[in-house]
Amino acid sequence: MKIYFDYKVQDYLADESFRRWVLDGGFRNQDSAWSQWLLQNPDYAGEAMKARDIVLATQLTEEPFEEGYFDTIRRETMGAIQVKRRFVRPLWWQAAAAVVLVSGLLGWLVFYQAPSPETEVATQENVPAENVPFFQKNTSSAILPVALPDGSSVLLHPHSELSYHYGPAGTREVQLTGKAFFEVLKDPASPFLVYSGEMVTKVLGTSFTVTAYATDADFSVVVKTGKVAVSAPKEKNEATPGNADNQTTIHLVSNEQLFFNREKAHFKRREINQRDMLQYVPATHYAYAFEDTPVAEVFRQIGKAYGLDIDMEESLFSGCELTTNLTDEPLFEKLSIVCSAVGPGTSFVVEEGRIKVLSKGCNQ
Amino acid sequence: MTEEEQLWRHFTNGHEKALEELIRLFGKPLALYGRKLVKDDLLIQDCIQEVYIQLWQYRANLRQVTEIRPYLFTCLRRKLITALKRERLFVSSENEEELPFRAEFSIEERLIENETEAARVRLINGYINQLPKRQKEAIYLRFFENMSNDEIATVMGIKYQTATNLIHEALASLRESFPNKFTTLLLVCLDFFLF
Repeated sequence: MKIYFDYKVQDYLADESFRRWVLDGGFRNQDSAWSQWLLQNPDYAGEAMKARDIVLATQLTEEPFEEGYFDTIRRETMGAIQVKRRFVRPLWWQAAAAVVLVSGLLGWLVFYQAPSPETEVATQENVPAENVPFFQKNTSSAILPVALPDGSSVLLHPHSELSYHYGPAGTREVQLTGKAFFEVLKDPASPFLVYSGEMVTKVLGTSFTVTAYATDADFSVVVKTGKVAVSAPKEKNEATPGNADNQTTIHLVSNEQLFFNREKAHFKRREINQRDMLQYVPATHYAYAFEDTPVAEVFRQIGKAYGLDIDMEESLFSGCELTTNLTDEPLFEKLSIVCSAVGPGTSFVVEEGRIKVLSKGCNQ
Repeated sequence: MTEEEQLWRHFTNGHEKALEELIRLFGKPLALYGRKLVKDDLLIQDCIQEVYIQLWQYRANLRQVTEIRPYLFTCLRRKLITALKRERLFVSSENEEELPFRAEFSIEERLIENETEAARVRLINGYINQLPKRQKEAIYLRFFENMSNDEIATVMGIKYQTATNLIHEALASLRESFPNKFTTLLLVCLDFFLF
């Protein structure tokens, strides 16, 4: 045992062995080391007894964490750094990647917000600050891939429309009527909110489908990966005006579906099996590992997973193979990563609702 | 070099195993601390991931640290504050700038055997729970996370002296709950050993 003569209350409190002595009931047993020491040094027992009482008076009971909580942290962190790692491969790659990524991003912004290329620079600089309004409507009978300015991807179903803007506190906000599958780019500092009628779906970075047609009696949220929080005002007779508690919030995790009955303002949650799941979300996998895979095949597989056709001139990619891992990045992020890996002369656009890969060929 | 210093060096040298080890060792203390600051396990989970991912990204520029935990706590605390500020929409309107500290201390009933002792412990418990939140936080870090005053200052973003004062004030305000005469305590104490 150490020498404890200088110990004050707070030194006892900070001493693991002392705390254990108290909490294991060692102070009831005069043979325990601390008891012995205090019996032999009664002059010092006063402070120790105060400390003991404080330990007894300051217990913290912790609710257990959700199952798999820490495993998720490990898996998602390790997954995220794998993605980052790809960016330090061959030498020619590094400079090229920066260019392609930036122009790629720029490309989306320009595509959806500015009709003429001359406004490129201005648009790019002003987007976050100036809050360029963003609007998409799908009047066709096919699913429309939409790139949001923040890098998130949306599959907008027929007869649906959405608008997007940055909220006052830097939140990303979408107004949705109809059905859409979202893959939200992770950014804990900037929550992503989907408003549909009186229901709000909030996420930090995940993928899910909101179904909220104007004529629907029940709205639905299905979570594919990650977790989301869905809020709506409480039932009318329960609510008191001006009270923040008027909101009911439900947390959903992957493979769960939430129904929101609009008339009763009532939530119902259920687990959803894989088959039913596919009515709501595309059959993408959590991770893709391509090893020496022909580039055209990579694009085809991505397209297939999302239920989209990707147009490309396959001959340009002959003899061109790719080794890379993709995880749960949004669709356009995946495409961007693959394009960058092929070479600086490869990018993609969305034209008339179809994704088209433009390329000067491999490593060009 | 201590084990922690070695682990940190491995981490800054880019060993993924070291990152996994950091997650394994500090994930839970971080989450428990996070819970005292925000009542949202999912947000905490996301912020912890972000902390690790960003540290990994900047690992080449990180200084050598001797104590990893306070460093991680600081990062998480900042992340949560930023996230909360951005999230005002979902926070009720009252003062969002001020981070709460939600620890509610309870009494270890099963170790208390007589009424005198119970009354005293109850009194202390009442005082502790009424402490200002920053004092509570300092107490938590000091006694539950075994941090030094120096480390507490780092985590909470305050001066060393301020941290020392917070702990001192917190303990001083408990003094009233103790009987004045030292001898009473001693008797009580010796009494227990006879059981």
